[in-house]
Amino acid sequence: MKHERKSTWRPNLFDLVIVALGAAVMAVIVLVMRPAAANISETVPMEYTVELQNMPEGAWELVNTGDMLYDNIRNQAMGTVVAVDHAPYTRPIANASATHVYQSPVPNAENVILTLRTNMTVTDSSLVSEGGYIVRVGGAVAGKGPCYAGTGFVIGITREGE
Amino acid sequence: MKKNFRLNWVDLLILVLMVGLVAGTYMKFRVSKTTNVVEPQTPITYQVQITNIRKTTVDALREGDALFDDDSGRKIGTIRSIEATPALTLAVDTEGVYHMTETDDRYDVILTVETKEGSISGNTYTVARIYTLNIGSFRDFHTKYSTWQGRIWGIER
Repeated sequence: MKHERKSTWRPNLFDLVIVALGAAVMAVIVLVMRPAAANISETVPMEYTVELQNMPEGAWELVNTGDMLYDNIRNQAMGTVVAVDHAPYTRPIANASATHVYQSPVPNAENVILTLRTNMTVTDSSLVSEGGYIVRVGGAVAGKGPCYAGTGFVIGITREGE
Repeated sequence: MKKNFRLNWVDLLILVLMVGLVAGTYMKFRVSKTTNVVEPQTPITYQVQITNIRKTTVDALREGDALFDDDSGRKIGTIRSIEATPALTLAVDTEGVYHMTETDDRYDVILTVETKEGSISGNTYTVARIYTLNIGSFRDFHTKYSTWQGRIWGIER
């Protein structure tokens, strides 16, 4: 003889609490994971200049316009090279009587000056390159290109509208 | 009829979670709100000294630029004036005597910064609620266009 088992499950208070908690957790996850609201003000093409210091003499000839420069630490795209220049690498040194400090050129070394172009995200407090690199004059640079790398500083930014 | 409801450990866990949620919500929306009573709105003018920077960094500073504290990211004022002079650095002569010596291609800068979001309590000057102005302290600062280390140099009283 076959017995038919009758379901005895009925929702109780704690089942409802678990369902409510599950729904709340899902809602929080959806809120947290959704794409950030359009807090970013605008993206504009901008140019800025970096100086890689104390590079081997002649290194600037390895740089080509069109090269992409990356931040060597976080691997963020800093921008595309649109101009290359070079200048003597100098170190400060005082004269014998310590009445003046000169910038004295260091032999066999030079600074490589790169002008980079990138689409910059502009906020009230920062300029951020397409790759996420924060650009500020005086900020440290550890840059690498296709066959060169060096450290230095951001030395110039063309302000928006100038 | 005998009631056979018994509390088990899962039920207890859920109860604890619910109590935690309620307590957390209360702390977030009631308790923490009552601590933010004072809105700072006293104008304060102070000076920041930057030493031995290059012309490129001087050129990146403009009157009217907003100034930010690097650690907190908070706005701590607006640059009202920029005074740049040739940098003086410490150098020693052949007799072993120190001199403050003018240095080529480097500048010392005094920025005058104004804020309306200050508060003064006794001899303590605070900007943007958490940023205490301590004359002589070195801090990292930035504007939208430049970054550097500076030193709180003076407060106008």
